[in-house]
Amino acid sequence: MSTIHLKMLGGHLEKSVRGRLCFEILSDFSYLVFLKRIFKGYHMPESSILNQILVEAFNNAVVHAHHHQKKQWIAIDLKWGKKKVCIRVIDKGPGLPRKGSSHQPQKWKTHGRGFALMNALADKVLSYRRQGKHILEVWKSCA
Amino acid sequence: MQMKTEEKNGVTVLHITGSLDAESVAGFKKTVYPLVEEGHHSFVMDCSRLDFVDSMGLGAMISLLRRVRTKKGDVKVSGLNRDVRSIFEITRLHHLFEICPDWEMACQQFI
Repeated sequence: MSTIHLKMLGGHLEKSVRGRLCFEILSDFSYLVFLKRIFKGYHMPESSILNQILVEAFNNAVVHAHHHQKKQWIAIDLKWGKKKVCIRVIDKGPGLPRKGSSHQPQKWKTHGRGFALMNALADKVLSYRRQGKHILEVWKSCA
Repeated sequence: MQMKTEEKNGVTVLHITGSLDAESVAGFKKTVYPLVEEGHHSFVMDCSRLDFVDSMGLGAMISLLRRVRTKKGDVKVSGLNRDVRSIFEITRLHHLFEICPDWEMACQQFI
């Protein structure tokens, strides 16, 4: 049986339509099992798409920001209202390259589809740095 | 992810259940790469029980396709559910892989 190392940073639910969940997890793909259950667990509309975005954002942090170093922490901040969901993944990496991140890779390349997927599925993808950390912020409307 | 392999008239069928994602790609590669080395070059990925694939899972599928294409083989994909099919279309993998309704039909495409 595996152990989930999770730091709860905060969270609340209001009338089941608004909510926020903030936590930190280790930079380890074994946490995907946990992450993939969150939106479905809250019975969110568009949970499959939100799930995909969260997984791609987390994968990006593990691979490109922390280079598979499992002892690094990744902060996840999920905020949802009646019409919109905001997914923020905070890591210690340099952030997205300025060019080319949203473009589809060449068809035979085995990497580089994560950003293309996020861009296609989300309404807005932002990447910025604050207080020495990289924040990937993804917005998705869900009726 | 759970994967069962089956031989059907010279075609190796991979019955995949669960998720093909960053966590499970290592296991997928560990199973299929030796098969390619042993001479299996015709594959069908039965995805009728695949409920999630991420970009790293797609990368593993492309990697398998690249390997078998160099040996004049092919990988066909079958039984995609609506969500996985959508991911294939967004990433344009439906142009790279032949997609069939079910694995039996996919096997017939090799004949």
